[in-house]
Amino acid sequence: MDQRLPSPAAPTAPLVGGRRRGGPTVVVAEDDEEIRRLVARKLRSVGMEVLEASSGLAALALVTTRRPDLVVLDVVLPGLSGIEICQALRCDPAYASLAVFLISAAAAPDDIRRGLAAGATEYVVKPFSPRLLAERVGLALAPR
Amino acid sequence: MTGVTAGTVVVLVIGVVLGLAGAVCWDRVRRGDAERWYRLGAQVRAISARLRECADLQALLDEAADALGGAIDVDQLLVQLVQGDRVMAPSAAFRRAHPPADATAPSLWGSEALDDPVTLRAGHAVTVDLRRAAAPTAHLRSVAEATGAQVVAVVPVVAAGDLLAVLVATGSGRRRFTPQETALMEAVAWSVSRALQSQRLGEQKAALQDGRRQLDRSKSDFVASVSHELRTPLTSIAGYAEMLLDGDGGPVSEGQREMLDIIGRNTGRLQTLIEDLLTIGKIESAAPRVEPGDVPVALLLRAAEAVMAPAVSAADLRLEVASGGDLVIEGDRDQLEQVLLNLVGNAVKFTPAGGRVTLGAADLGHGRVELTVTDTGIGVPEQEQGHLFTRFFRASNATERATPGAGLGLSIVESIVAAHGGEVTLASTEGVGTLVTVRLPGHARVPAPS
Repeated sequence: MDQRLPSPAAPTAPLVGGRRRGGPTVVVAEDDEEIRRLVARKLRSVGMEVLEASSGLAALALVTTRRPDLVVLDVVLPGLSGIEICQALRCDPAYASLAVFLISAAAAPDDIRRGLAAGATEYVVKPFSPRLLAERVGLALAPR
Repeated sequence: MTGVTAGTVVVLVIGVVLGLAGAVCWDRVRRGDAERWYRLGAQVRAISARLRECADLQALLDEAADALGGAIDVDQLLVQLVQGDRVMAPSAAFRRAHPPADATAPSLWGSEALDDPVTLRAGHAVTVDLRRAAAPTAHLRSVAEATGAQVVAVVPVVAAGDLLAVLVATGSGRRRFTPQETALMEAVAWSVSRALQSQRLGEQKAALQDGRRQLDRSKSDFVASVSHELRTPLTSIAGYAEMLLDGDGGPVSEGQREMLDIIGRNTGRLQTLIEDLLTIGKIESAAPRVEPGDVPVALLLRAAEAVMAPAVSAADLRLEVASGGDLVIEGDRDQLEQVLLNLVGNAVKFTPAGGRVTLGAADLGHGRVELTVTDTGIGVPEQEQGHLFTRFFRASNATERATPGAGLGLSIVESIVAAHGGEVTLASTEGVGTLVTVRLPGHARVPAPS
């Protein structure tokens, strides 16, 4: 895939209030509203700015326009799947190092392998502990 | 007087001569008959031997048609399968040179109703002289049309009261078929019947196996999708309970904390049950796929120790783990880890505070390695030990104590161990403890030659 996603340096949507207003920015894409809000709420509670998306395309649009520091993607999303988004991001040098967490109810070793092969930083199996997820996200964002 | 006597003598003499001649003729007829029956026996044996050589059903049908056609003076010899109450176009045919028509030309045959099935179904041969009577059945009419036959003999191929096929011999402008000829056809019909039966059995078996495989597949698909569907609501329940507990929804009172703890514990139980169901589904859909490799026992033991450490300390137990040395087990690492986790999990669950759980490993030689899990727990009542590996079975003292579990752990262990070519045994004394021994293919790693 040679195709480039819109560059993060040229956001197509205006930023409200500036990017670095709070802590790091995280995009959370999950079509199950309760789980999306669960993750968003937990991440906000530890000081992160969270942008929510309920479809694959919306998630991709947020990633390319809002330059998040990390993305949490459900694997099964309407439109583009989390795996496809992950692959698309990894093919673009601008997003090659962006941390991507996949979350999924598919817990078989093959599913996990597929997720990691798509370039995910972590593969989180449902049900998960929001506390531990927030910790892992915090670790992935910590300067190395 | 003399004339009368002489006349009487002449009549007597003629009578005797005629009688003798008659007797001689009758004897010849009988001897000829016996000879023909004797020849028949030899023919049956020869044809049966040829049929036994046939590799498949079609070859056997072809051979039956050829052998019979060669042995009997017929124009054509057809083998027609019967399906339900219809006769199919010939599956095999023998034709003498220049027959009136090609009996196997498909356009000549429909599937004809076998509308006089009674005689045939009872296993009796039917012979018809079509010069004297019209064909009595649709089947015979089509035979007459397709072959131009004037004389027809139909011999049924039956099995267990089912009419499977018919052998049809046709002739023209000549005598009836002899009893020997129909007897020979009946003998061949018997061989054909056996072949059809064995094919039918094979098909039934294949269909059964196919059905079972499909059932297995849909069952494991079902289990997989149900587990998947259960995980999503469980994520919300467990996640929000945890957030409440963490104070994300405001201050939590002691009473609320206790209740939230209960919710958390039970979602954990549900989650374990889902994992077990998935594993069982996998094991059932196919024997667990062993992805073989040499798995270091030391690694397995360390992994089990690391995973179980929190549970061990929470239960106030001591966990002693052997080093494993340089032993390796030939098998699938994930599955072997699961075996140890299930066994240690049981030991921890059923050992009261202050007890001890020991994980051992030993080289048995002869390509076998032994893993042991020993505990000082409540044990298993002797009369129930035989059922422990049965799925969903739970020992009475486990249910009495309301120890959580679904009764799947040990059956999973047994399936995995069996798929590895190993065996698992359990020895237990109630109130004293339990020893589970797993023997698996393995060996001490031979140091690589330097």
